[in-house]
Amino acid sequence: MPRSRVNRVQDSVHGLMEFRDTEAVVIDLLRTVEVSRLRRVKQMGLAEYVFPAAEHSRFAHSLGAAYVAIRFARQLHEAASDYLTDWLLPDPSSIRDLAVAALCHDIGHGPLSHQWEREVIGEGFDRDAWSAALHVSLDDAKRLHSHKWHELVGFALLGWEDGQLHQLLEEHEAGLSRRIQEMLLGEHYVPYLPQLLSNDVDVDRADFILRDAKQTGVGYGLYDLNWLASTSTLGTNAEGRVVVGFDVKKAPRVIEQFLLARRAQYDTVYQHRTIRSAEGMAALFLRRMKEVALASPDEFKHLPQPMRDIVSGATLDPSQVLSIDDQTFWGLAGHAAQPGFSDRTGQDLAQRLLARNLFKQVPCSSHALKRFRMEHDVSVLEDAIKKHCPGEPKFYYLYEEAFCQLVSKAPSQFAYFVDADHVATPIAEHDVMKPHLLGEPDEDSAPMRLFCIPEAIKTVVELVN
Amino acid sequence: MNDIKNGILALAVLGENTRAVAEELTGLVAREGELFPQAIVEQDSEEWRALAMAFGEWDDEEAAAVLRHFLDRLANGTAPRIEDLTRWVLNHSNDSGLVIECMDLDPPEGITINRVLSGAGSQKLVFHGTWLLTLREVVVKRFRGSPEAAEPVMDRESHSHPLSIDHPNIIATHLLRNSSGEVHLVEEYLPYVLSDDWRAPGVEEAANLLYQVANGLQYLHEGLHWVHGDIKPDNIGRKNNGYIILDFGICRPADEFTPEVTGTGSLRTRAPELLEADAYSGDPYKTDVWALGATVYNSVVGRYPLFDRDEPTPRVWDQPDRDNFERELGRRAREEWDARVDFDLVHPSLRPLLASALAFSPEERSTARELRERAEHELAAFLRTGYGEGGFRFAPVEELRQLSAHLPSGDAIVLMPIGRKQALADRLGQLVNVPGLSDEDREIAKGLLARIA
Repeated sequence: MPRSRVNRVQDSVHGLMEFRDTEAVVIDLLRTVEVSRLRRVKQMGLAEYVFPAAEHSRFAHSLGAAYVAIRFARQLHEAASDYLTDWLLPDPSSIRDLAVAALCHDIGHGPLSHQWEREVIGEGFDRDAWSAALHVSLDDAKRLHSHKWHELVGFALLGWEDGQLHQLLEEHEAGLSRRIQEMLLGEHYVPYLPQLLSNDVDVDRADFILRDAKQTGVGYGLYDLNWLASTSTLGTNAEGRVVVGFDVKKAPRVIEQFLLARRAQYDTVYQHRTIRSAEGMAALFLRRMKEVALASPDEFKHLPQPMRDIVSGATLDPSQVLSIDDQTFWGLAGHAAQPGFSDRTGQDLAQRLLARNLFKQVPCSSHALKRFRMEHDVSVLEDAIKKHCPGEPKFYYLYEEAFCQLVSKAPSQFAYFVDADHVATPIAEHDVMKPHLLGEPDEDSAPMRLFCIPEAIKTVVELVN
Repeated sequence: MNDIKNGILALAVLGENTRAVAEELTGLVAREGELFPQAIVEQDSEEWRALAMAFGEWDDEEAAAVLRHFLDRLANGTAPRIEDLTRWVLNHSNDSGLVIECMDLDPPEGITINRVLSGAGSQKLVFHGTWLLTLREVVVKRFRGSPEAAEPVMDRESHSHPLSIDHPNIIATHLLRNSSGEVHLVEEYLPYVLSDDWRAPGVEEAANLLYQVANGLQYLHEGLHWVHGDIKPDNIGRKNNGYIILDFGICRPADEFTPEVTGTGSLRTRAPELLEADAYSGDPYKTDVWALGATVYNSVVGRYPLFDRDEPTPRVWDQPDRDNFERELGRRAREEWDARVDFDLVHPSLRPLLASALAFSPEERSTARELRERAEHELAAFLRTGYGEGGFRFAPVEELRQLSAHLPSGDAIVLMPIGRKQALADRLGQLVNVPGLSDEDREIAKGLLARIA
């Protein structure tokens, strides 16, 4: 008699995670270089500068998200069996698909995540050139026209025929890699399952809120995952679509707890002034490195080819992408910090980052900063701090708005409350939800902060006030 | 002590009659050391105030009647808790009779009574209660009359019990004893029970009503050899997408089925042969089948077969009128059958089965088994099958509509695992050919087949 397969993994957040039968492909995939690269990309970027234990990787988070995905999908099957025919309920294959998609949802991320993507790749990156380099077909490139760079890379890695990830998935079931690609784009034969990968209460957040809280030690960033999962169900929204939601009789308090936990992480960790300063400096450093690479390519001739290429704005193929990780960033910083590096600005920023000699927050009110920024050209500030800056002044300050929107305004991202008749109402529209839990109403109301090198703080305060 | 008195005197605001009883109660409070007044003092003063609040809009006389009865029960040492009395007062606005019925019921241990559900004029009173052990809402039945008269009724109802626990279409019944050892029938409470006004929303529901009640009747007829005797909307409840036969008060073995027994059965669903003098010469099981047919007929046409629309029925205690009306029904059955038992308004899919359930002659009428089996064949498109923990699931038409609305198209379907796609295609192939499916639904099934091809 064939034995069913069970793989177990101990996890600091979820305890013993079990992957059964077809779900066990998740464990096989951990061996691939594409997934394994995530071991070398930290989930929280430079948060360890403030919370020393926040060193966990995107690898641990992705595996946790895969496990949470299985729990949610199994619960949906149970909760909705009186509502939908079996053909529309999650079956073992679709639960496996969801888990694999959750495992792979971050495989395209570069080092430091958003700073890297914004500064090195650029928000207006050459999509056609990157698609071609990553072997993404023209049709698929068109479908991905509004997606971010890391989503394009993730899609490409799943479809890369020479890649271990693609080969292992295809070995498991012909066409599986394509199905996972589609699922990450929101399409699946169980049509509502992709919502669990990307909405206001999804498996990504369900894992990282707990993991980040645990690793940072921010205890009030916790929520009851067991209860949340047990309340998940299916309903029909106003457009007649089946959507994933939460039992309105049981879930309001745990959804509040979830949103509060996320808010606590925002306020205490993600928007922590020192972390924002460090990550802002990293962004400024990368921006400068890109300028140097274009102006003086020889500065980087001793660096590995993919690192050199990507810093100078060239595209990479999938195999080259796999060599880019957090070490790429620190290698670059280490190189630039050397005494012989010709660019004083880049060298100084690298040295400051390595020594954790970070910019400080200027002690001015958000209101005063917004007024100052509106009334004065950037040159006013740069002229004032120039005398304190070892390099170009525009690399020695950064403005930031701490915008926190806990519930999306895009219908595709809505999470729902579901009543006993399976009628689904977006949580933000339901009268059981307290408005203050939903975050800032718009970006204009987000508080503004200004960071600059410590030497210039006094000058800037006098200027702004 | 004064606090208790003040609590009781809060009742006095309702009027002179109530004041008199309240003062009698406060007078008792002063008689310290006596057992009877002690029972009053033990109640919390706030509970007395809550009772006064509950009386709210009650008439003085009605409220006084309740309090007077409470005093009597105090004297007997059988007074209920004020908390219970308050709940009954709240649940039966200005009706001292029903509150007194609640007070007089000694329910089985562990069951608290909430309100009277029905029973005026009937041979039994039906209460709504909460069974604390099981945390279920239940129906508790108490039979009127002497214990000797109640015993056979109780026996009939309880006989359906031992084998009915797991039957999806027959109410689960329990026998529980109170402190005096009297047996009470306790049934699961179904919050939704059909009524004369209930209309089947579409042929699907009418088909499921017919099929599921026939399924319950088949068990009753063939498994227990009993005739229910009173199939009608009020005796059919709903639970988990299913229809449940309730109330076995005049249920009895087929060989004991005599005209006297049906005196309290409904005239609305009475079979034509029971309207004749020489009743019961035939198969009594068929009377249940006709009653089921009449119930389904009413749910789709809006009247019972031998009745005019909204025609009232003389109550059971109004015997002369009832006899006259019964004779009139007999005349209609003999002389106006074709005009009255008219199937024009019945959905074509349902017509042949309903006609076979409502056949004038018992010999030509289907048995419950035949009805169920024919429904499985001819109405398969509409029947919810697959009874399990969660109750009945989906009829083929519902399955088709769900798939049509929610099964994606394009790449999502192209990429469906081969095995699942094949199984779905097989299922759609079955659905295309399911009996009873309309042309429109058949086209939906074909469209879905094309979608996954």
